[in-house]
Amino acid sequence: MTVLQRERARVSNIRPRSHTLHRLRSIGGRALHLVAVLVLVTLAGTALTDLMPGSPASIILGPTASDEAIAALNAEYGYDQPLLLRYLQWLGNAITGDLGVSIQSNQPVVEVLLQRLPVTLELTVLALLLSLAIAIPAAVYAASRENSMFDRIVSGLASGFMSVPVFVIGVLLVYVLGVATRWFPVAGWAPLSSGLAENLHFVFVPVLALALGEFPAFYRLLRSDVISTLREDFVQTATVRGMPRGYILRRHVLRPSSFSLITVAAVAFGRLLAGSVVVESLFALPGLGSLALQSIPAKDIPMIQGIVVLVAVTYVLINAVVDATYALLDPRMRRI
Amino acid sequence: MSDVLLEVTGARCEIPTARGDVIALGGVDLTVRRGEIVGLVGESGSGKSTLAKLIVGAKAPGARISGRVVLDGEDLESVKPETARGIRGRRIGIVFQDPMMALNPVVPIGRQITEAAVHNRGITREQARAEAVELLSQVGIPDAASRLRHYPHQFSGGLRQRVTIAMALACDPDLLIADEATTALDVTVQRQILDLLSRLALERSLAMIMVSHDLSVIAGRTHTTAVMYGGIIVESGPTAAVFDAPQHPYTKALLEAIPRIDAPPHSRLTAIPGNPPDLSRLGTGCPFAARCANAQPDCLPVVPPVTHPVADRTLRCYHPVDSFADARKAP
Amino acid sequence: MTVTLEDPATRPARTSRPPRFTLTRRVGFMLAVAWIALLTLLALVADLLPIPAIDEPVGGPSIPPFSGEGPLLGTDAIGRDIASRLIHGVRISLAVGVGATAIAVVVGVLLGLLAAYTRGAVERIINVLTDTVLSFPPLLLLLALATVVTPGVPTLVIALGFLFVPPFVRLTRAAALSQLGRDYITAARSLGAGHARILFRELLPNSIQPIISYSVVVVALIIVIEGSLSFLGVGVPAPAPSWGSMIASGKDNLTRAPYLVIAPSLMIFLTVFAFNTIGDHLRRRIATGGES
Repeated sequence: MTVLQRERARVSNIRPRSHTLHRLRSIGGRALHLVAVLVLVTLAGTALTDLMPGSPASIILGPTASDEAIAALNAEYGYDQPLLLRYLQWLGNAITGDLGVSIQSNQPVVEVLLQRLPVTLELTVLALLLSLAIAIPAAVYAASRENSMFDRIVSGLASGFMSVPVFVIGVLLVYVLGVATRWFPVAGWAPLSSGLAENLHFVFVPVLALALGEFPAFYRLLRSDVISTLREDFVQTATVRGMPRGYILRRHVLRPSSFSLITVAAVAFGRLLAGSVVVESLFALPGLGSLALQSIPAKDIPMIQGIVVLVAVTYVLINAVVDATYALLDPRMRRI
Repeated sequence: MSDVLLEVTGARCEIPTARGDVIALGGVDLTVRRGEIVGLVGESGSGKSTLAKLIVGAKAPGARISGRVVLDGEDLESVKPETARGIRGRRIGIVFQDPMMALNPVVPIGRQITEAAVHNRGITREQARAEAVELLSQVGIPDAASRLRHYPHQFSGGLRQRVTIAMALACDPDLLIADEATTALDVTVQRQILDLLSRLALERSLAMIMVSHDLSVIAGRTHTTAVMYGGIIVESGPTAAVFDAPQHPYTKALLEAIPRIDAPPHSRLTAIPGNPPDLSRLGTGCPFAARCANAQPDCLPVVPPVTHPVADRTLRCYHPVDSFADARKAP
Repeated sequence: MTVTLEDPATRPARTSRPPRFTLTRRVGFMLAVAWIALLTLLALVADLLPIPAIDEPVGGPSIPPFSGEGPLLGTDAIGRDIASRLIHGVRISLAVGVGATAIAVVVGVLLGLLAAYTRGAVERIINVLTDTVLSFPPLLLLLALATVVTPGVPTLVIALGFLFVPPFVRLTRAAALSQLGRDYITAARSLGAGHARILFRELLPNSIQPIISYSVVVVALIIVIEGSLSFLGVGVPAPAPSWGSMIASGKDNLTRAPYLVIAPSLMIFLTVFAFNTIGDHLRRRIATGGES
C-alpha cells in the first residue's frame, strides 16, 4: 500500500459493511458518549470543592471556628474523603433521589430544587417560545423580501439587540414598563396558584427581557437559511406551477430552513437558564438562579452542586433528545 | 378556436452583471400550434432555457424581460401578475433538467404532485390524490398508491424524473415544456423518458416544447425545430426540412459535426471553429458572424431580420447556405 | 448519434445580485475598529490620564452629566467621577475579554488540531471532554466557582478561558478535517514532512481564518458574561469599576438618575456591538473569498 492509498483510507474513514451494524454501532456509540458526558458532568460537580483554598468546612464555618468543629463538619459531609470515593457516594445517593442537605436551611437539597424549578422552567420555556414567535415570522418575511425596508429595519434591530446584554435590556424594560409607565410590576412573583392572569402579569417583563436577548440569534440564522432555500430550484418549480407565495414559504421553505434553528434552540436553552439567573435577580423571582445567588455568600456547597448538576444534566439530555429526533424532521436522515 | 396555442413575440431578456448587461434573449418569436411538438436546440448560452423560463414566467434574479406571451388568445402581460401565474400554472407544465433539484427533498411527492391541482383547479385533496395515483401509473411508476408518501431521495434518478413529469401533468395542461429533461440522466434512462414524453404528448394531444442541446433528441420526435444561437432563433421550420436542407450556416455546421455511422472509417469530423459567444460582448450584427464560414462585411452592422425563404420556414441570415453556393457558381 | 454541444455540469452560474450597502458596511466596520482602538488606548494609558481616582468622591452625589457643575459626565451616588470609572471599566472588560479569549484560542486550537490529526481514541476523548464543558452554562459555572474562590480578574480570565475552549476545538477540528483530505497535505506527507511541520506550517495557516473571525465574537460574549457577573455582584469585587456593577448600583436610582445606568449601558453596548461588527465583517469576507 502506498503512502497515498493509506492516507486516502485514513481520511475517508472506512465505513462498516453492513447498514444495520453501522446503525447499531452509531446508536451504541452515542449512548456511550452520553453516559461518559453525564459521568464527567456530575464528577465536576463533586470536584468543585477541590478548587477551594483550604478545606470546605473551614470556609463554611469561617475563620473563628475551632479545629474540632472543622474536622467534625468535614467528616459529616465526607469532605475528608478522596474525590473518587466522594463521587461514588454522591452518585449512590443521587440515584435514590438524595442530593444532600442544604447547609443554609437544613432542608433536603432535592426538596428546595423542586420548589424553585417551576419558576425557572416557566421563565425559560416562555422566553424560548416568545423569542421563536418573534423570530420565525420576522425572519421568513424579511428573507422573502431581501433588502426591503422591513428586512433592513428588523435585521438592524436584531444586530443591535444582539449586542445588548440581558441585564441591560432588563433594567431598561423595568424603567420603561415598570417605573415610567407603571404598566407592570417592577419586581416580584405570583405563583400560578394565584391565577394565570396574575402570574402572567408578573412574569411578562422578565420573559420579554430574556426573549429580546435571544431572538436575534434565531432571527439571523433562520433569515439566512430561508434566503438560501429560496434560491433552490424546487422553489422555482412551485412558483411556475402557480402556487401562492405564502403557501410556498409555509410548505416548501420553512421546514428545510429550520433544521439548524432547532439545534440552536436546544443550545439556547442552556443560555436561557443562565440568563434566567440575571433576570431572577433583577426581578426578585424565586427560581433556581436567585437560589444560587443566595447560596454563594452562605457557602452552601451542596445546594450549588445540586443546581449545577441539575442544569447541566437537563441540558445534556435535551440536546441528546434533539439529536435523536432530528431524523423525524429531515426525511433524508431516515433510513428505509 | 384558433389553431395557435402559444405565441411569443419580441421576447427579450437582459441580465445585468458586473461586466455589463448580458443579452440572453435578443428578440425571439415562437409559435406553437395545438398538439405540435417543437424542438428548441442550441448550445450552452444560446438562450433556449431562458426562453423556456420566460414562457412559464420565471427569470433570473434582476433580469429585465420584455415581449408578449399570448396563450390561447390571452395576452399574459396584460393581466395582473397573480392571474398570469395562475393561468400559467394551470395550462403550462414544465419539466426541468435535474429532478433532484426540482423536487423539494422534505415534502412527500404526493403533496408535491397534488398541491398545484388543488390550488389551481379547486378540486378536493382526495380527488387530486386519486388523480395522482392514476398519473403516476401513467408515467410508469409501479405501485403508485403506496409511493405517494415517499420522499424524492427514495426514488432512483429515472423514477424521479417520472415524478416531475407527473407533477407537470397534474393540472392537465395544454402545453408541456421539457427543459433539458433528460440531460442529467443515464443514457439508457434518457431514451425511456423521451419515449414516455412522446407517448404522453400523443395520448393527451399535448403541445410540447422540447429544449435540448442534443440534436438526436430533437430529430425523430418533433414536428418543427427552432435552432437558437446567441439569444436569437437563427432558423426554424419543419424538422425534416431543417435537417435535410439547412439554410443557416450554423445549422449546417451543427449537422456536419454529427458522427455518421455510414461515413468511411477514419474520416474527419468537422468541428465548428471558435467558441460559443460571450453574450455580454455581442456586437450589433449577427451573433454567429465570428465563427461563420459564409461571413461577409455586411453581417456585422445589424442582426439579420427574420425572412421566410419557404412558406413554413424562418431564417435570420444575409448569406444562407444555398445562396452562397449559388453565388460561387455564378461567375 | 449524439452531439453534445454543452457540458451539463457547466451550466451558467446563477447571476448573483451585486451586494448593496457595502459602503455603509465598510464605514460601520471602520467605526468599530476605531472605537476598539480608542478603548485599547484608554485602557493602556488610564493611569497616566489626568483623571480623578476611581474610589474617591470628587463632588456632590448624583450630579447629572453635562450640567456645568462637577465633572463632564457627572458623579455617581456617592460622588465619584463617572467618566473616570467608565475609563477604568474599559480595562476590566478588555482584560477579561481579550485575556480569556487568548487562552481559549490557544488551548482550543491545539486540541482541535490534535483531534483532527490523530482521530481514533484521542479524538473521542477530546470530544467527550468538549461536550462535558459545553454542558455547563458559563454564567452558572462561574457562580458555582464564586462560592469556592474569591473572584478577581485573573480568576475570571482563567475560568472563562477554560469555558470557551470547546467551541474553538470544534471549529479547528472541522476546519482541519476539511483540509486534511486535500492534496497539498498528502503531498507534504509523502515528501516526508514531520507531524509538527504538517500541523503548524500546513494545517494551521489554512484553518485559521474562521478561528480569527469567531474569536472576535467570543471577546464580545465574554465581555457580556463579565458584565453579568459583576451585575450580580459576584464578578470583579468593589471598588473596581466594572460596567456591570455600575449598572447594578445605578438601577435602584432609575427615576432620579437614569444616566447612572445609561452611561455604562452605552459603553457595553458600543463595545459589544463593535466586536460583533468586526466579527461579522471578517466572517463575510471569508465567505465571499476576500471581497466584502
